[in-house]
Amino acid sequence: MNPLTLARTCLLLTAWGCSSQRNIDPDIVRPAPGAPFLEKIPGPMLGPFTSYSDALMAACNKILRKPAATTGREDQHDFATRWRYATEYCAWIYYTPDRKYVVSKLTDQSRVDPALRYKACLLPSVVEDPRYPPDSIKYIYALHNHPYPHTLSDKDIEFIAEQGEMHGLTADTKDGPLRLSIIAFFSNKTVEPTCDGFHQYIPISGHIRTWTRTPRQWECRQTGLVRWLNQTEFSVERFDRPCASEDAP
Amino acid sequence: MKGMPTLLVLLLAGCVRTPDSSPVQREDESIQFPDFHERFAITVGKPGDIYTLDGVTLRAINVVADDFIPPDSTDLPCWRKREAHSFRIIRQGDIIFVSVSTTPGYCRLGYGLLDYGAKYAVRTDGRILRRSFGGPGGDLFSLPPPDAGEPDSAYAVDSSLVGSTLLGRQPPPDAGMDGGSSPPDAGLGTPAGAPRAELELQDIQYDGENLSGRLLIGAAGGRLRLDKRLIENVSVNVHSVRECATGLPPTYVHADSFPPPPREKDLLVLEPGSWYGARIHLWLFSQAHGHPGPDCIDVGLTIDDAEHQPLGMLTVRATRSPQKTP
Repeated sequence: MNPLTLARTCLLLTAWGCSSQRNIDPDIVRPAPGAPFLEKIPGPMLGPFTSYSDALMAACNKILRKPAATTGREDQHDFATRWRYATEYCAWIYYTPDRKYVVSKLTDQSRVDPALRYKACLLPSVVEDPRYPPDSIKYIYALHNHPYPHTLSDKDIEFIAEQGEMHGLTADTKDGPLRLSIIAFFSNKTVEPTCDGFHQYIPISGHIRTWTRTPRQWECRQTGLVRWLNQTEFSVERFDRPCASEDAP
Repeated sequence: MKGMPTLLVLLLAGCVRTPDSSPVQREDESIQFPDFHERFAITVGKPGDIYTLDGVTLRAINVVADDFIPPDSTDLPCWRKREAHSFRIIRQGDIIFVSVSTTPGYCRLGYGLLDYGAKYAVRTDGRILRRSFGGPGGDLFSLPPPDAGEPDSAYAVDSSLVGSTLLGRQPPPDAGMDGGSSPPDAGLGTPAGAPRAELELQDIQYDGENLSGRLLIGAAGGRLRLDKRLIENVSVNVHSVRECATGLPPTYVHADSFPPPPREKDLLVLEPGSWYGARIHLWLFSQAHGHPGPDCIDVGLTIDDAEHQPLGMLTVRATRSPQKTP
């Protein structure tokens, strides 16, 4: 950095991490430098959709195509570098009083490790869609991406369990009662990423499932069962078997 | 900075790069982490009971806390503080596996901390053998645990038991440098596979504050799309700085730049076998802020393409010269 150039630049001091706001993407919200993390996320970004699965697929494709949303698989080229610069984005899919499914805006308020070692996404618990009263919104899916096709983390499981206490474990919709769940999308590609699958945990049933896209259809595997000892302690029994035929995301 | 309108955010004391936390050492990638939620943990610290905790385990927790949690500061949000964390522990032979994350409900938050946390394998002598931050490898539940016998114990410890007052913050013994033979980013490993670009920094100049040189980028495996401006902190980023003599990270400036998006004339498609070069200038240290640079530094740089996808990493050594960089 040329000191002369530096003298002409605007210098700001910020207390909050080493975040970059170099690309202003209208899909993404994040706190201003020095401001606390967001506790409400605005909507909408995508929608309205008449089908929750359409909303889910649209969100998956949208999120995974954001910059650095995917590292690809571990054996792929430049994985470690891609991991270092990977970003997690998170959002909600919610159900509106006019019987539609909507995807909120994304946040990438995640750069909490200056050394870029771990990735996290700080998902606000509340969606703020100015078109609807706050209490009329029903929460269906907490969304985020895993840059690497890694299973759900402890915090993913804890978070959606807490959200179930706040928002309810099911939501009555035109499609019947839908179960609150958390979703982690992943892609196996780094260039023009595709929605290759997602992990899902459904607190009311305790099921962890992994959905993967095959050339013809989506395949669902039940990969775990969560049991809670108390409000904070849980165990996970891990296995791998087909989901029940009636299962849907 | 090539004279373009740029908004620069400077982060000094509060945003000096945290050291890559660990002493330079290669990690044992053969270690696989056990499933920390295979069964319920025994909670240490519940009121009304009596506990013992051996010093070896306590030291392992301390090592993990020092590595993962930032030094205490009033600026930190509640959940980044040491006392907001919990540790799950599984001991197998002479390895203590530790999973660290926040204690549910300790802080009142209006957001969830999706994927926050890490897993460590710490030897009983306090040396970190492996870390997993949810990314590269390490915790594939389908793989068998290391050949270290059955777990001796599995329990969770609230971080109120391992405050810095109790444990101190000294580095673990036997976790020192390895003579600088490992690359600065050894903790994360080097990129797998061939790089997308050949990178070289020529004519390196360093005056104790600024590092400059001519960056050459060669297309190795295919076409590259570059932002010819090679803007510092956008296309060219500093990811580590270490003193040559000690391998330790000094306090250095972290800067961010917000240039206008590239115009068509700023973009360059580099065909395989071709090279592109431009001079770069990086401001690393500030004498005025009490952070002069060491005489000799190893600087890790990452270079991104026009889409901000990484092209590769480059480590250069620079020795202070009496001349100012231009």
